[in-house]
Amino acid sequence: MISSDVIRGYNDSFLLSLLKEGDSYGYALSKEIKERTDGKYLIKETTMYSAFTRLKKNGFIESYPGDITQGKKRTYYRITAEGKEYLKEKQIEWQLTKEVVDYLVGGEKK
Amino acid sequence: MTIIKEYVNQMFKTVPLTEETNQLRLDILANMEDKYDELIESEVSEHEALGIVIAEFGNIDELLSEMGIKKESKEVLENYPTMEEGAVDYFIEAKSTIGLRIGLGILSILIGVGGMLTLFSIAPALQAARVIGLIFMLAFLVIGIALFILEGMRTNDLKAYYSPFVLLPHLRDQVEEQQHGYKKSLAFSIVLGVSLCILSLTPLLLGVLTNLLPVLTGVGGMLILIGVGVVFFTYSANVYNAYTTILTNGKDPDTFENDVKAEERRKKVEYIIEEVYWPIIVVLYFASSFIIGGSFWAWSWVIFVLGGALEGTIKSFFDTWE
Repeated sequence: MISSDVIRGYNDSFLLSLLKEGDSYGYALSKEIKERTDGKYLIKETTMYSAFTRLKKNGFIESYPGDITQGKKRTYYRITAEGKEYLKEKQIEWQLTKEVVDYLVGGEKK
Repeated sequence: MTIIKEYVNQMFKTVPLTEETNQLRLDILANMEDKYDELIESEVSEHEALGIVIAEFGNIDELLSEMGIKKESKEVLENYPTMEEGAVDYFIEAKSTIGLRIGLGILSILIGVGGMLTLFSIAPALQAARVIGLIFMLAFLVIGIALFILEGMRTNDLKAYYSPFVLLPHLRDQVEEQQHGYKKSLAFSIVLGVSLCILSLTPLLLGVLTNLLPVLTGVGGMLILIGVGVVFFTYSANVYNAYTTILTNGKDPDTFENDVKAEERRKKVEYIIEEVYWPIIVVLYFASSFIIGGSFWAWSWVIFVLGGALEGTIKSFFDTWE
């Protein structure tokens, strides 16, 4: 498990990149995150919905009521054009971050 | 499953209820239930599954600060309950039975008195009629008073509905619609009640103007007919007022704080007027009357009239001052 402090800044990007693959709803997204990371990262409900609130406020995603599945009406999320733009920036930023962290914390000298 | 629901509801207890937060609560609940179901399917014990699901809920404060919900409003909402559909229906139903029983109480007393008068009117023919009449009246009086006491106690239980509470917009619309729908029944009941009160003059007139009925029987008949009319009034008016009560005291969660503050201010003003203003008026009345004395007593009561007029001015002054 990863400490949530370190990863906090990336929750928004996680959700955006998953939504880029298609519209989805809360549980499906958190499950996807868990499966893709092999259970190494679990997003908490409140963390996820904080991210949704933030992304919505910034116009990066939109929500809409989905069809009823298994007797529950779910809120679906869709990425916007701005969201895709933002995600691109974040991907570039991540490449840079990865390099920097690797230089300093990775334990290998160049 | 109910434990999860309880847990989420508990977590959201201090969150102002809006359509947005309500949907959020439902979404989170649905997620947690899905997660729980899957854990159970993968043969995790119920106990363990609950633990995992609840641990993965997170921290509600994180969400609240992101949504810009302030702590103060949390406190306000802790102090003021939210009325849901069941609670609203309960109130309307309780008020309608109260209305009906109060009406029946009045009817019972009027039947008692009316019956007694009728029995009195046959007293010349039957010796025991007076005694029977009195007993008859007392019996119905007891029933009437018992009904009043019972319903009075019940009114106490409904106190919560007479101070501000949160009413969700969609529920407000529903109550407004119901009240609108009830208007017809109210009008019908009032017409029926008024007709009965007017009709009640018939036995009286028959008693006074003709020899068909003794006068006392006529009066008795009149009282009973009025009693039946009153039942229609109290019942329908109570139901209608119940809707009004819900709509006035049920506040929109978005403007809740302002409404409550305005109400507190109003209460403060009322307190000042009751505890300070009127005593001053009384003191003024006595002081001036005693000091000036003589014929001043004859018209110093005008102070109260002026005081009453000024009270309205002071109240509206406070209102515009806000």
